[in-house]
Amino acid sequence: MAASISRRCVRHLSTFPLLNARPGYPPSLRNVEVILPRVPRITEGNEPQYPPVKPSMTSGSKAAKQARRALWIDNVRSSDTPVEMIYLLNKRQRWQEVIKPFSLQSGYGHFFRDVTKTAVVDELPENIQTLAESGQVKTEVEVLTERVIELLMVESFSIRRKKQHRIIEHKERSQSLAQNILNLLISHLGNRFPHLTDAVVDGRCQIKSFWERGERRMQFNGEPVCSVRAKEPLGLFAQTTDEVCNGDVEGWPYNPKEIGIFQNHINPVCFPGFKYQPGHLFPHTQIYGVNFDLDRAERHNIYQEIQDNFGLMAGYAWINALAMYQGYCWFQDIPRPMTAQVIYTDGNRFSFYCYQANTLDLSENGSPWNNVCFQKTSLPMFTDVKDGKVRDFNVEALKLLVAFLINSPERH
Amino acid sequence: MNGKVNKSACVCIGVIYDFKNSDRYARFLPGGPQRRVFFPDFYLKMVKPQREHPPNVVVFHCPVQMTKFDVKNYLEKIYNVPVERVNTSIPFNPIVRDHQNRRWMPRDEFKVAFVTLADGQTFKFPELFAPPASEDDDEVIDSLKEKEKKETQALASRGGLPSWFGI
Repeated sequence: MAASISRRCVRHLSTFPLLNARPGYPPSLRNVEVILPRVPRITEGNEPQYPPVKPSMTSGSKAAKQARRALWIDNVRSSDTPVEMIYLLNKRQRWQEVIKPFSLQSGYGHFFRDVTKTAVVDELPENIQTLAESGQVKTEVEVLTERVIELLMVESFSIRRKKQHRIIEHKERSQSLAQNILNLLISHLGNRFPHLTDAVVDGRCQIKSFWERGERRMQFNGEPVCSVRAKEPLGLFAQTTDEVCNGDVEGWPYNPKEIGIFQNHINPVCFPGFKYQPGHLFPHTQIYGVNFDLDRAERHNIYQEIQDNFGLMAGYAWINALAMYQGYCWFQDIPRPMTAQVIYTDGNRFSFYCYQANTLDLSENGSPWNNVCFQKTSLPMFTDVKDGKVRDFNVEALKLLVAFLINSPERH
Repeated sequence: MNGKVNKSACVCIGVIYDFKNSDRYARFLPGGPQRRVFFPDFYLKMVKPQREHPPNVVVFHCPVQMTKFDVKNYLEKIYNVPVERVNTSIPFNPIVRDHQNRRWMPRDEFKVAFVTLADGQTFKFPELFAPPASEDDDEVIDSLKEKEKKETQALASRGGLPSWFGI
């Protein structure tokens, strides 16, 4: 009996030895070492006879919380419609970082790249570059240069704009140019490229989108000028086997408050510009104007950073919102990569972004792929409009605009 | 006394505001007189940050009367450090009442300034002291065990009773 008792004793690490160390005591009970019962491993002939102990769904224990979360994820994955899935994801209010496609504090590019798991390439993809130099685009551009120059003259001289604060003037100038150029190009090209007439063109619709990356949840609010949605997906800009799609994206482990990005605690919203409607659920092209103080950005030397990071955030958020309308989210990844084209203009310079979302699952042990943003920033279309003339009209910018719109699913 | 004042004999005292007993210094409005303050009680003390900041952020303590513009000018003009922006916060300093119900502040007040450096500069607060010995070191554990053994050996013969109680 003494021997069996000794197996259950616990080791003492006190400065004084046990009282039972004195000579009269049996040696088996003196300063016993810990001998815990060994838990046998479950093997084939050794299976437990009772079902596993499941955690209670209502308790506050860690296991219960994990079980509830697992059940929630199962429900999200097995939901019948996208609307139901979005409701399950956003019915609970949480703390989330509120993001716009730009920020007026420097150093936020690193955060944007971490939060969308994006690698940035400073060149446009090969298929867009070849398309821009192709004969088809050249013929279109020959006719279009005159009409675009006419448009720029009309924008500068003929439209009567009310005298307003310079921030609002910049905003209105850039947004009206963006809208009018896109309208002109789509109506001109629609004849020969039927995917443009089949597409849906949204006007100034807000884009709202939310996603999770680890412990953080993001809520994106964007205000593009024009969004073109198509029935079929655009082709890929890079294969998933390429190096670009299989790299590591550096983490940004600091508090987003440091770069002026703050949280709110309300239900997140998924709104790609329209209420849920099956049909045109693939992104094609989107154009943004200026929605911030351009002078301040230039004064504080942040404008180049804004142009470098605009497309990667706007592109990912738009793709994410449309993918959620198709029934995919970070628990249910997209089966094949989705691509989108984003353009940003400040009334003068154009920036072109080709975003490829290989995965929506941004967790650490999620997908081996990362998302990619190919971009070409700060391409001026003209320098000035003076004395009844448009100076230094740059055909390259117009070629890329036309190439973006001509780019269709049939080409791939 | 004569009515005339010898202006050349007047000496400028300098400090108009007593920083310790006031909340702010004289405010300048365009067109008003420039009330310069010479030798103000301004200091900037660099401290080790208590949480992780991006590499271009440096943390200072400064007097509560200093504003963000003061911190920026101080660093740019005296030390030639390019500053992008300054964020400040004043930590809570409790007021205490003594046995005669008089209010006083046992600790000095200070303001924390988080300075973001410009031009891509970075700074890391240096390690001033050697890191403490970790508990996983086998050497540390062995030395502690030996110590314990020596101490207990002396007491074993007395059944664990310390010698203070003995003769």
